[in-house]
Amino acid sequence: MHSITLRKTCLYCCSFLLLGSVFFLPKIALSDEILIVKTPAVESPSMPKVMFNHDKHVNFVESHDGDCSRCHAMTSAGLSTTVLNVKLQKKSNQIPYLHMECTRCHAQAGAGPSLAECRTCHVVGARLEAKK
Amino acid sequence: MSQILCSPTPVTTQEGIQALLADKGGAKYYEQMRGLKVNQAQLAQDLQTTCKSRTRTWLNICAHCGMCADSCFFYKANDKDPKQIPSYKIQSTLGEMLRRNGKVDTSFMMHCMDVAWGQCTCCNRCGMYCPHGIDTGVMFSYLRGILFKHGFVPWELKIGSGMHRVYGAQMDVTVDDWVDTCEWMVDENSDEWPNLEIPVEKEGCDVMYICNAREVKHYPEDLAQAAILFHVTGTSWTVPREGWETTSLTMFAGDWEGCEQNLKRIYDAVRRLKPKMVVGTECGHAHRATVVEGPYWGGQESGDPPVPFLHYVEWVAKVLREGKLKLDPTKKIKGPCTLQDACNYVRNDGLGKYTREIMSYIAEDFREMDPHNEHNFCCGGGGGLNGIGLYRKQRNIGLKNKLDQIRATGANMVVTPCHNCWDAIRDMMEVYEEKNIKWSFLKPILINMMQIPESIAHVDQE
Amino acid sequence: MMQLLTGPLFVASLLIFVIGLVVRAVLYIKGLDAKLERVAYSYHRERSVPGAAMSIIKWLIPAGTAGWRTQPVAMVLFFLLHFGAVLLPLFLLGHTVILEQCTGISLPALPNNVADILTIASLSALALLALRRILSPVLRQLNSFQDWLILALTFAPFFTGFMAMHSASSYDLWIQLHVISGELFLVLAPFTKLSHIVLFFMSRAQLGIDFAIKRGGDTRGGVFPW
Repeated sequence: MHSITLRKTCLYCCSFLLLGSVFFLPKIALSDEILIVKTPAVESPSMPKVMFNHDKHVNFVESHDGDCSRCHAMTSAGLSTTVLNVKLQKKSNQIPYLHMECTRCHAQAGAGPSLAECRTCHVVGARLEAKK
Repeated sequence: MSQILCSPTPVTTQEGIQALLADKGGAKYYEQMRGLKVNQAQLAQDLQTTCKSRTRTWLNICAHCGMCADSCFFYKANDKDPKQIPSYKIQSTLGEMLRRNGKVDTSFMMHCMDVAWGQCTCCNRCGMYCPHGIDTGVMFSYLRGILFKHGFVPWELKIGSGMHRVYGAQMDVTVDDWVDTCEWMVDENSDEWPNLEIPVEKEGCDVMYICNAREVKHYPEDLAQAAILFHVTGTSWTVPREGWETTSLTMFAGDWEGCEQNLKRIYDAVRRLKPKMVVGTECGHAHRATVVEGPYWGGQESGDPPVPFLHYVEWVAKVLREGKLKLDPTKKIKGPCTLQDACNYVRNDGLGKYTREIMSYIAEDFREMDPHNEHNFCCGGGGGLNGIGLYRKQRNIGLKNKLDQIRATGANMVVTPCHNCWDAIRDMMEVYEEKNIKWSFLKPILINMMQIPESIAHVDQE
Repeated sequence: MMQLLTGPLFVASLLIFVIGLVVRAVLYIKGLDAKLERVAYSYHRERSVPGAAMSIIKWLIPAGTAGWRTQPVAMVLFFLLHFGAVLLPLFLLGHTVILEQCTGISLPALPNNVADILTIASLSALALLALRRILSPVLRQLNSFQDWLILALTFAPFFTGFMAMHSASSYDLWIQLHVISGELFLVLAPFTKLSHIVLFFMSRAQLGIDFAIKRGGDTRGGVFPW
């Protein structure tokens, strides 16, 4: 009797805490899918890695024209796993290509960082705050 | 009926000069100046047409970094008075005049005159020490031109400008006076030098010699010494009848038209007499006005004179090098001696290497001043300052800087191939009661040391 | 906001900077007058070209002239500031990325720690220059509003840039301020004493030419001994 109540109470408390913690942790942490950009591979990086919030971009596209080919080239195996035609670029041009493609869309969309806001994408540590 | 002594009009008549001279110390002249109205419209137009991007940029771009301060002997000699900083001096005069576009009054113009002639000798040293290369000395020279045109020029320089316009020389020495003096000097020395000549208006010589009116009027021995040295070196030489005077005091006065007239006289003489080269006497501003700035006033677009124009030290170095002038090494100056680098032909024409070449022949213990050569300080009396009574006090303060430099060398003799430097050094020894230091032009030293060739007739005078 | 700042406003401020400085340089050269200034600019190229070059080069080297050597404090502060002030806008990573995207010109990027050191050096120099303006009796006689303005205009981009680099929490604020202050610098440069970016070279060349053609060029042997 006693032990069952105790276990039940613990279970309820834990689930309450677990569920409630969703509201206290940074909004993206649990729900958003963050991808670390790996193409091109950089041997000695001068900047921190780019933390790409895929879900945010998906939400944006879905609320507009739903066209994933904005970022994903169509391959015979389906949607590309890298941005557009980055793999077709010369190695030395891949970063400029990414810079250009990403910021061009941000400018058109009126949302997302410009090329001057380096550290919004090249995030130091695991700073994953919600962007306004 | 009082005569107009002070006005924008240059003096062009003997009467005009005499009227000015009669006004002792320029008392009436300066009194009239205080009532001289500024033609603001004309001033604005003058600035518009003559002050262009070089000067305007200099004034605009000054970073107020203060590096010009220590470069200026006036700043140093006046206990680092901030009002003596070159940048301050020019910004508060020409800079202000431009900012107000000529809308300035008489007392402002007189203040500009005080600074342009009493706080700057246009030695150009500040231009060497400015990171932007702003040559405040050049700007003050320009300002003098503006002030002269509007009548705000010191009394002695108004007279000096008039002298050149009337007599073709910085003093009232007529052409006849000049030729007479030449003859007189030959007579005076013909006992010792039987074949001595001062050929006047002889064509096709190697050297045409031009000199300083003050030598003719006050120190004719200098002319005789020049003649003897040409004689002893076997130089084929002449002096012109007109165009014989090279000082162009008009440069100090800001009388550019007067400068053009002077150069025209000299170049006419060159055209008449066709010498291979022209040699000037030991004078700094003569060289600057006639050889450095002169070609431009003389209409030479290239900035080069029609034939080579040498300063006396260049000629002396040449004849020493060529062996035409031989000096007795046992007669070298024994005591410690130093060398005055005259701004107008050392900093501003690079002749310091020739004076040093000469020193190696004439001095046993030559000590450089610190700093020296192009970096040397002005003697304190250049730019006409030696002669301006109104700024005598300021000049005497400025002399201290040079005296300190001389004393620091430990020298008791200063070799000074420049008239203004010579005067400044003479005066500083008097003002500061320094009795142990002597100074000399080159000519007397050379005369004393020279070995007379067998071919030159010489009778010992004893 | 940033799109506006880094888009049309950036282009505009860069254009004003470049065109403005070019105009000032051209006006300077056009305003030179061989007769009035008594310098035969178009003659004696064999002397005037090395004369102009050395007049510039010697002053760009620390202790390269007597002027620098006799003013060691001013010299150290100027070079400390200008090393960073010249290198960082051109070779900072980030700036190089933007430059490459806008013009295709690919400049090498400074390592981050070098950039930090240069920035701190420039900021210190600016602070010490301001202090020198306050303390030196010479500068106190000369100081004007513009002197303070350009110190501030130069300080702001360096300071905000440094803060953007090192402040994770306020990155957005600092980067916005950095772009704004950078663009303010660019826009005002041609109209203030910052125009020395080109006019230093013009003025120094002119004086070098003057001494080479007129004041000793043919008698001194060699260039003027700055």
